[in-house]
Amino acid sequence: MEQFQTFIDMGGYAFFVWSAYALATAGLVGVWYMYRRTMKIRQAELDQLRPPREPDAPQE
Amino acid sequence: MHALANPNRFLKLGDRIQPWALGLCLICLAVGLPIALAFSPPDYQQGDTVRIMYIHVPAAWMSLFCYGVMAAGSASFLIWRQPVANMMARASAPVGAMFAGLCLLTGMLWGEPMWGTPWVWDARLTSMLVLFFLYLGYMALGDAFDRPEQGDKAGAILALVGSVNLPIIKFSVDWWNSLHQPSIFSMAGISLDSSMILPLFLMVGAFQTFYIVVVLMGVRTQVLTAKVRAARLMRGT
Repeated sequence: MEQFQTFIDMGGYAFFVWSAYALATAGLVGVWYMYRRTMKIRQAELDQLRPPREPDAPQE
Repeated sequence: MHALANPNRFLKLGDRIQPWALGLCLICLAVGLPIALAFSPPDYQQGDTVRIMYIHVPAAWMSLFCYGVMAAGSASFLIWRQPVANMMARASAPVGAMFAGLCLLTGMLWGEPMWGTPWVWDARLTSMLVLFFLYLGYMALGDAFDRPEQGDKAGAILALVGSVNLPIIKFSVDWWNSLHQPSIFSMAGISLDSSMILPLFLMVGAFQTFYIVVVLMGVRTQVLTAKVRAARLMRGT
């Protein structure tokens, strides 16, 4: 338990260290979500314009 | 190389690479994060704030790498009219901007306790901020024209002109007096304790493979956008 407390405290720099890792998580997850969402939107637009039956549309 | 110039073949190859890149990214994070946060020793000067470096340094390298891809892609688009090269460039911009922003913010979080100030207008920090704005400018310019070809061309030229900033960032700590510490790589080798190299490189691996995963999604989005545009033209809407 005490070991866990020292880990959380980060030698008194808890705010700075944990903020940095929180920002990194937010950045990676956010970018991944954004890329994925734009891709899905574009795919849906294309499916609406032409039904996905053409042989030159190998999207799964 | 010529096979990769075809967007559909590029995407097919990408589909095969993507799951491996994602798996490798998750492994690097699963192994790297515990080492970075807990098992690596605190620095004798910086204490536990050294753990911010395992985010800050890989983010800085990746922001330069993404811009390098953008500049190279733009060059081969302008010279050889390679559409995939332009798609790679366009797909690298948002993730590169995120890495640049992450580098700046984590740098501030380290600077506040260690330097006593989150920001100084010195060469390294300022040139990094310029890189961040170059990313934003490139993205805005690419979408600013009615005809997408014009946006592609204008963006590519901006990316190429802005690439002069890359060596400035890299060597800013050598050319000017800076509060920022010099690079850990020099002619003399790596100036970093071995216990810190492992978590650093694992995080670099995680960020690099993450880039591969999202950039492939980005290229697919570009291909789909082109197809949507072509389908709309055919329908006359």
